[in-house]
Formats: sequence, structure tokens, C-alpha cells
Amino acid sequence: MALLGILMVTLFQLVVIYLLLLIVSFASKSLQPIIYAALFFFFLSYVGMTIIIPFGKTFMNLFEPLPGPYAKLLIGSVFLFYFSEMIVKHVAEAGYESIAEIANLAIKIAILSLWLPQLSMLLNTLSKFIIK
Amino acid sequence: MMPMLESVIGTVLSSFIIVIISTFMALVLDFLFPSFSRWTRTFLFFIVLTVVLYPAYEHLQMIRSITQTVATMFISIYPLLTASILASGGSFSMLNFQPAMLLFANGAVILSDKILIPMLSAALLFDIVSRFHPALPFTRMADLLRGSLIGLVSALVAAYSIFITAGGTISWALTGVTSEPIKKLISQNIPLVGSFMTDSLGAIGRYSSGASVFIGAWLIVTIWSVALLPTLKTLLTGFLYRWTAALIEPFANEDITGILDDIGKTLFVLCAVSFLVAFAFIYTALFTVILVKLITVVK
Amino acid sequence: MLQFLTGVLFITIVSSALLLLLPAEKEEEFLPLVKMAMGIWIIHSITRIFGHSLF
Repeated sequence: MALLGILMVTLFQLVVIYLLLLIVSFASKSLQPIIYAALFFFFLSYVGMTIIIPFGKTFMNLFEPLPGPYAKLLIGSVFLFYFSEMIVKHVAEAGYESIAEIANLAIKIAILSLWLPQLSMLLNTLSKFIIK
Repeated sequence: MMPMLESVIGTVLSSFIIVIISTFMALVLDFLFPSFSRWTRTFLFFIVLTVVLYPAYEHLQMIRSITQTVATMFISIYPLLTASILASGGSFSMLNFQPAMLLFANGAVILSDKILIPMLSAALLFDIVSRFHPALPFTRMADLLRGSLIGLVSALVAAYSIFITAGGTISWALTGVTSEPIKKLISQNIPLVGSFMTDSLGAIGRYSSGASVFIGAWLIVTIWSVALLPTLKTLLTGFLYRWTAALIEPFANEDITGILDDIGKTLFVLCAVSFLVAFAFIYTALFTVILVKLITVVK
Repeated sequence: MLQFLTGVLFITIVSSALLLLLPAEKEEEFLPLVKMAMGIWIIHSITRIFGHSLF
């Protein structure tokens, strides 16, 4: 029931933000991009706090029996990937696509560095076979 | 048995490990630079090809050199054999050994040296080309080559068994009721060449039993193991290729598993060819040994 | 052996559920990471199952 309430609130906020942006675009054309950006980040953080992160936590608990840190790594990296995609898309919409590309690559490298311990362990085991 | 197993695994294991490591490297690159993925595929393909093709090529070369050795051995002792057959007169009539059979067996060896093994390398090449450039497929050609090779080899073995049973006096124990389930198991579980292997094993067995009256059983065992060792090695290597392909299929590129599978298939056919050669070798060796025994005992 | 199979099953379920959340055009981009997870899991399990006879 609580989740339904949160969803309703989110939908309501979405409508309010849309109307606000429409009003701003009538009132002053030059202020619209900055208000749009501010509202975007506000909305993203709100949805992230109330829905995405709690959902990720329950999802992780659901796959607790999976041995090793694989479920945590997969879920964590997919949410990181999604957040970065959102922000990058926003920056690209504003017309700064090349900066967005660099940010994208940096986020991907960060995600890979989460996996690095697993990967290095794997390479160690495999290289033992070659040396032997 | 165990040392052989270890040596076979040791020769191919490191190349398979390199394949697995480069697959992971390609995955990381694919994730970081999705637009570069076609280049990554090409590089990965080259790495895998250089690493994986070498053990298969080595096997091809090994069987080829064995074939040439058997052929030269036969050509060098053939005049001697015919002379001594003439000299020994009718003492061969009590055995199921025919001199014509000897000629036939070694004709098969020369055939495999001149035709079968080159055809097999051509099939391998066609496979690789069609995997590398899927727009220019040669898969039917490669399958045709392999299929006709198998047909040729099994026809030869069928001819052998006809020759052998025509004059056969004693039948070997492997044809008995107890070994039927084992033969069934082998022929169903080894792809492509299984039924052929059990048939020809039975044929060789029938022969050796006739010979074991004259020469010791240990000599037959020695000849068998010397002749069949390369074949077993090739079979095992082919299986290793297919196992690796099955193991890495979930995370590797489709081309790479395909290549490993194709090489495995080709090695199975090579195993059939080398079986033919081993058969000819066993025949020639037994024939020579019996001839020497007969001459030394009779004279 | 059982652990290996449950691991394979769980990784498959997790990754398919996560790929449902991502937008369709980003799915391709994320797929290598899923494959990597599966690969690491398979290799680890294999070395654990057969490890004692190989080392």
C-alpha cells in the first residue's frame, strides 16, 4: 500500500513538473534550460531515493543465496549504468554530446573497476594453468 | 594411460586458457567501446586462430608423418615379402592372411597420404574462411569434403572386413555377446566416427586372434598400442576442443565456439583416417612377424 | 555441482530482470557485463570442481 502511495505521488509530481515547465516556457524563454535542468536533477534524486534504491536493496536480498558477490555487483553496476545514462542523456539534450561521451566512458571504467577484484582473481587462476 | 592423458591435456590446455583470457579481454573492450566491437571481433579472431590452430595442425602433421613412415616401410619390405611368400609355398593356406590384402591395406595408406589428409586440411581452411567472413560461406563445401572422407574411409574398412571374414578361421572374443553393449556405447557416443571405430576394431581383433596362435599375445598388444596411440591422442584432442567450445559458449563470441567445434569435427575425421593407417600398420607388422616365424620354424 | 547450477540459474534470472529495466537500445551495451559475470562464475566453479586434480 505504501508503495502505491509513493507511485501516485511520483506521477503527480511528474504532472506538476510538466505543467511548470510549460508555464516557464511561456513566461521566459531564456530561463527555461536552467529550470529544466534543476527540475530534472530534483526529480531524479527524488525517484532514486524513494523507488530505485529501495527496490535495488530488496532485489539484492531476493538473490542473497547466490554465492559470491555476483548479484550485488550486477545490480549495483546496472543502477550505476542507468543513472549515468540518464545524466548523460540530459547533457546531450542540452547540446553537449562530446562531454557526455567522455562522462559515459568514465562511468563505464568505474563500473569495471568494481569488477576488477573478481577479474584479477580469475586471471590468476587461469595463468596458473599456463605456467604449469 | 595416465601419462598420455596428461601430455595430451598439457599440449592443448594452455592454448585454451589463452582463448578464455582473450575472450574476457574482448568482453571488457566491448563494454567500454561498443562502437569498436567489429574491430574487437577481428582481433579476437586472429588471436584465437593463431593459438588454437597450432595443436590441430601438429596432429595433422603427426598423422601425416606416421602415414609416410608406414608407406615407406611397406614399399621397402614388399619385395622381400613376396619373395619369401613364394619360397614358403603353401604354408599360408592354414592362415587367414592373404597377400593381396597386404597390398590393399598399404594402398589405403598411400591414398590417405596423397588424398585424404590434403582434403582434410582443405576442409579446415574452408571452415575458417566461412567463419571469418560469413558473407562468403564455404560451409557446404567443407561438410561435403568431410562427409565424402568419412564415406571413403568406411567403404575401405567395409572392404577390409569382407576380405578378412572370407578366409577367417577363428573369430575374436570382442565379437561375442558380452562386448556388444560396449560397442553400442562407443558407436553412439563418439560423433561421426564411432560406429566405424567399433567395426574396424572388431575387424582388427578377428585378425589378431588368428595371429596370436603363432606369435605371443604380448607382441600383439605392443603392436596394437603402438599403432593406436596416435589415434587415441587425436580423438582425445578432438574431444577437448568440443568440450572447451561447450564450456565457453555462454560468454564467448559465436564465431569462436564455432571455430573450436569445427576443428573438433575435423580432428574426429582425422582420427578415422589414422585408424585406417593404424589398421594397415597392424596388418603389415603381423604379416611380417608371422612370415619370419614360419620361415624360421619350417626351414 | 549444485552450487554451480544454482549460480547459473540465479545469474540468468538477475540479468534478465535487470535487462528488462534498461531501455532497449542500452541493452546491447550492458550485455558484455552480464556475459562477463557468467564467464567468471563458470570458470570459478570449474576450477573449484576439478581443481584438486589439476593443481
